[in-house]
Amino acid sequence: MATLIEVPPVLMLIENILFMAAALIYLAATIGYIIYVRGNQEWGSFASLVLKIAFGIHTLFIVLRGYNVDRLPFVGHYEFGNLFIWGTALVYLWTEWRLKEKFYAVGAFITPLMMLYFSYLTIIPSLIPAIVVSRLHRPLPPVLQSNWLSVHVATSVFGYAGFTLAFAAATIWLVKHYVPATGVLGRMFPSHEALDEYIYRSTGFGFLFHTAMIVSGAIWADISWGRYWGWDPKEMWSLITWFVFAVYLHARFTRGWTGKRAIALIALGWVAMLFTWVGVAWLLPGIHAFG
Amino acid sequence: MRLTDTINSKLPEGQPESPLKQTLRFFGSMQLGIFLILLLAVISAYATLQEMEQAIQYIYSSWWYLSILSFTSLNLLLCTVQRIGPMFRLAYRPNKIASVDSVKSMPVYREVHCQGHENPLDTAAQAFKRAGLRVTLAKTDFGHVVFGERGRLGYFGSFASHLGLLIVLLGALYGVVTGYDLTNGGWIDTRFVVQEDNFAVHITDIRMVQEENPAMRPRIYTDVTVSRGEEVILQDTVSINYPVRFDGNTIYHSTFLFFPVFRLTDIATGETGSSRFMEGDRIYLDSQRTTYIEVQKFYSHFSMRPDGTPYNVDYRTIRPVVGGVLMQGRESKGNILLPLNKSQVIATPGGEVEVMLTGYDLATVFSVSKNLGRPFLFGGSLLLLLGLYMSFFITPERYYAVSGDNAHSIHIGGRGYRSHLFLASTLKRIEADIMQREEAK
Repeated sequence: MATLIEVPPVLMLIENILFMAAALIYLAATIGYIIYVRGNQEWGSFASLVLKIAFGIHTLFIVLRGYNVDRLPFVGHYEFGNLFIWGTALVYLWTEWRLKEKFYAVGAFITPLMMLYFSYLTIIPSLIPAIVVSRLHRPLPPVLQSNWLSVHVATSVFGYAGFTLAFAAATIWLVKHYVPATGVLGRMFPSHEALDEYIYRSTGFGFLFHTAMIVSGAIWADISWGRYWGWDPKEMWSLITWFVFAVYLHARFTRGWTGKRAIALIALGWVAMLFTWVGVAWLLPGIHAFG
Repeated sequence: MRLTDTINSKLPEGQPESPLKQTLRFFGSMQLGIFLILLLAVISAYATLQEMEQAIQYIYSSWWYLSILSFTSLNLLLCTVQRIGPMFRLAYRPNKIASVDSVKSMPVYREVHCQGHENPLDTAAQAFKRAGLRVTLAKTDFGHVVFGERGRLGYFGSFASHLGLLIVLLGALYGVVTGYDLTNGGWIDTRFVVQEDNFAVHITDIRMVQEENPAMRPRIYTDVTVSRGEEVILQDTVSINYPVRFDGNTIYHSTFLFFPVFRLTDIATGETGSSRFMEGDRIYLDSQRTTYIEVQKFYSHFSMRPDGTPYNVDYRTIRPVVGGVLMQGRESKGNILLPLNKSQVIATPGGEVEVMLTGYDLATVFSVSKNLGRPFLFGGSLLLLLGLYMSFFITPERYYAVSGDNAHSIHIGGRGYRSHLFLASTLKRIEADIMQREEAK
């Protein structure tokens, strides 16, 4: 049964323009950060400014999308994907603002990940016909008409954003390990110790919100479906992601795991997170099929 | 002797640990915990590749999966118990004594030169306070030490989160042992009994309220009266996202369905009868039960695609039609569509039978459950989140200031618990504050 909200064509056009503009300016920020890590110090703050502009336009897009669908734009792959990218940009910009030492190099690794997520909303569906990311404006089904939706999705966005940030820093750690310390990249990247801290803090941030996402989902499921845990593939993969990052946090704190073993766990956790978001939806259908 | 003492007590060197202590240490070890969590992750990942019902029956409910969960809980319990003593010592009995050498070897360190006439340690103490540290002055064999700390709550984060998780797991176990979970329901003026807790549910009314867009699943409001014996416990309305709760029991709206009502008339004898059926039921048309209609789907707003496939336009009950398959023995005689109030005569070995859809009843399906572990689950979850917040957002930091070899320099060092990310910036602030105070003199 097709259920669509009628949106005035002009608003639809503005929505699409804002989306494309945000994507293109994020791409420009990505290029800026990459120029920075190639040894051009002055590009760091400029790339950061471009990222802030992209983030602002993306915020406008999300607000307009919410206006057009007359609800919080939190449902389906398109809306969640946008929110996830927006959350990742927000968390990264927050770290840039919060930390005295600006880790612009992290920007050179997190913005390509954001572009990868953008490609899932734009290019990948046109390359793989089995993947359909609908941009249609749909009303909220009654089961999702709950305040818990906003808590569940918002915590999930920040959880995923924290893990993405950790993975970006982990990638830098690994690259730095293999490039000469005196080379351009070796000089532009933060120290291994700083990156290790960065990874740990980002994982901690993501882990707190990911746990909050699981807890809020359980409470909501208890209210809506009469049970807090249904062994649904999405629930299970969220838990698996939680397990992997829990192992990393414990291994780091109690066993002193840093370096390659810790990086491997972060990479595994990020893959599990990505599979929870994308893989489960297309390969393991369950009750979370709202996309 | 308490369990914590048993685990944490130290033996004289060379004396072997008792078997009990070795066992407790093994089951409470972090290595075992990490191994069990990874094992759970791998098994769970494999289980998600199976059919969900199969996975629930053969993996998630299996004795070995539950055993791994139990071992993980035991590991968590012992880990939590092991931490109590050391954690309190760490938080409340800090080592406030430091020499110049030990301060120099801390993760962050600065030597600050002072020109003023006052004792530089007093200036350091004021700067520590300004940085939001709780300051104490200790006298040691090496001289005076200014000790400052903040974020003490952060030490308890790990304990609180582990305890919270443990409460969640025990709450889930308690809920499974003491509760039940079943599916039941009915149409208007029917009742069902929940024997597990000895109460009856009477459905007094069911209302369907369409969404603005009728293609959206409508809301169903079901009025129920719950009674135990002669006593009415409550009268309330159950709808999606709004369950009814009493005495630990919960009645949730699970779904709704239509029960079509058919009238069968034997053309030869004029004998007639009506019955309700649901999707999947068989409407037997002869006494030998060889000819029957297999009810497949109730279409509330029936339409047909150009290729002849029937479908529901939306959830409105505008054109009710039942779709089914006419069967004779095991042989299909073709699809059959039965619109409301339009009879069809079907030939059977026993004679002709008139079949007519005369109406339909809206029925609600409830999920009825009792879970006494729920308060523990949610309380434990809150504690878990609080613990994680304390772990990752409250970072304990400790700073030491000692006099240098000459009276005009102080050595300041700092160390953190879990993280050193903000130590350097705080120390820089303290140093700047001391320099500013010196200049002001």
